[in-house]
Amino acid sequence: MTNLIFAGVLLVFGMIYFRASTQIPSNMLEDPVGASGFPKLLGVVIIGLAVVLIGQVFMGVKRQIFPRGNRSDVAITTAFRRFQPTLLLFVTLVVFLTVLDTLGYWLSVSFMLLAIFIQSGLRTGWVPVLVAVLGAAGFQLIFGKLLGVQLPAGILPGLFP
Amino acid sequence: MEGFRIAVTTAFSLSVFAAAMAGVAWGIIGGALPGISASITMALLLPFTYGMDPTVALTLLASTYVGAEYGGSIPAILIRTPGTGAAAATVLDGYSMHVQGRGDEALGLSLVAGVIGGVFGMIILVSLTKVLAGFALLFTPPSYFALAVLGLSIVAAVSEGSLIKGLMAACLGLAIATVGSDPMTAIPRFTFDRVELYSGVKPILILIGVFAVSEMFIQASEPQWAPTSSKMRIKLPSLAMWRRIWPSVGIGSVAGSLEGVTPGAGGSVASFIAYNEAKRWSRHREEFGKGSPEGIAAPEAANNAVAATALIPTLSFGVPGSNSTAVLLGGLLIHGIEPGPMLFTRHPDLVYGLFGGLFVANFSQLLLGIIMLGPCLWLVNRPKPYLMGFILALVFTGIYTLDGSVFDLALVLAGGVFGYILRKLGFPILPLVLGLVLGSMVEQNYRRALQLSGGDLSTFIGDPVSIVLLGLSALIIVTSIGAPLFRRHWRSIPETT
Repeated sequence: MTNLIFAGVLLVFGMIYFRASTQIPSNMLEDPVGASGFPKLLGVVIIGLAVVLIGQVFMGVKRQIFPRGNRSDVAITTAFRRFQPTLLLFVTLVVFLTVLDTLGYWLSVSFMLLAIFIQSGLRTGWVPVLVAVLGAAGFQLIFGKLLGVQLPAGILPGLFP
Repeated sequence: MEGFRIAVTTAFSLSVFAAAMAGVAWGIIGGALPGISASITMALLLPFTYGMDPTVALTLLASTYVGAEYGGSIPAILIRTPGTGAAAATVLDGYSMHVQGRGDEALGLSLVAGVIGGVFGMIILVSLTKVLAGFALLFTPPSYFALAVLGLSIVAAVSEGSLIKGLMAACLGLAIATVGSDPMTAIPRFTFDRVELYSGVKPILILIGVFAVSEMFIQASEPQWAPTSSKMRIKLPSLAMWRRIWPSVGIGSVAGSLEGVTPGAGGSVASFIAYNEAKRWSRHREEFGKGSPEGIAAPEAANNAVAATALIPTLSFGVPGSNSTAVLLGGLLIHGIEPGPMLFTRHPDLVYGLFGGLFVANFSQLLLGIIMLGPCLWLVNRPKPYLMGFILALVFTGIYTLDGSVFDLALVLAGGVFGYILRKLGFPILPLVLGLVLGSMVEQNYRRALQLSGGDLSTFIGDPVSIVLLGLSALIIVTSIGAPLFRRHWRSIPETT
């Protein structure tokens, strides 16, 4: 089912991509292909491949005649639990990118590290907190001080001048 | 002779020498961490190579590849978990030797066989690339386009997963490469009025996303790897042992060199072929799988030979043989250097300098392999969440140093999610990366060829090199579609008769 959904997504992507490529403006100085020529060709190929993928998925389903039966709620819950750490990591990284400019490099990286440590199963306590805070400070010193990279100062501009 | 002079001069320049040593050391550490493949170890370095001299940057990346191939054998031998895919065959006998209390001997065998395999591969690399460079002048825009199509076809066909998935991944890579101002007319394409996208999506962002970030997403759901003794040492093979293993080292070196020049094959295939061949020719066949020294020597020589000869298709044709060489190709493009047949005539300093640096890397591996064992064991014994957290911090900080753009970081994250979904659904990553890296070259040569021919598509058939390459592409695709059908038909014959 996941394969079918993804193949469908690719088909829709191919169509949108092709449509967008037809709207690329042309130029008087253009070559015979033009700026839109290659993307148009690519769009057609992507649509074609997506159709073949959908066909392959259907043929596969036909051959298996639904051997796995209906997935129970328990199976769905187990699958969700399996992907939960990945999902949490993704959310952590999204939050990190959102607050990076506001909180500043040191605080954002500290929180990101701590969140990763805790959600990956490390026992909460002083050690992970210290590792996160000192680790982020180490990165700030290496990149900000030694390599001279301008890192976001955020709400603590005076801490790493 | 001029090439030899450049290689020697460059190899002993301080910057290249230091890059070779640092690359090997970093590669050994990265390779030793289970789940962190050679390509990820190299991708983590990419942002830091921006400001470097191209020869130094490429030596650093290629030396990392060399180091990672050895590093992968450390957890393979000690905790039965290969650090890299290429070290999977080493687990079979390496771990058995460790259980028998001969872990130090196994590590020594892996190191020495790796160095010999690497040097053998380097000799093949130097000899063959020179010959292939002779074809440079035969290449015209249609043949460059056909070459890229051939590369994408080979990689899509031999990568894991189905051919259709491989081709789809390649097309998605090409589609990402079309974002930004058109290279010939500067018309913006798929930029959604975002200024950040006008110069296109930097391949490095997607490379790091699909290799490093997606691996962290996968590792997040994987259990912590087993701890190991942190007091291990390396015992180099004795003369008697050397007499026993040299045929296996030879077999591994040859098998690895042959596999390296085959795009898409990579170190994993080479090491298993070498293992099987060493077993077939060994006088102690019964010991294989139970702690045979030859069972370590052959695959380790093979995967280090691959690290050298995989550069042949990468440098000569711009077609990387593995994920690691695709990252190296990304490193070339970062510096505005187009790989392919003209590389040897346009940038001889870079090519021969890289060869010199790689010789240093291969020999220094012998010393660094011994020195770096302690730090590797210390790192392997750290809790995995610490390593994951610091790798992600390094990834995002490294990318931020490029342009100070949070948008770039978001693209890396998007690349990571995209890579994770593709990997989970069985799409190969290499064609995607190749499409992305070669995208601009494919489109420009396609358009240049049609511009020169006045829009006549027969130019691709009229050019002798182009017709051969396009014919090969068609043959590869037809064969990979036809082979499974033929096999299915062949299997069904006994059932029906």
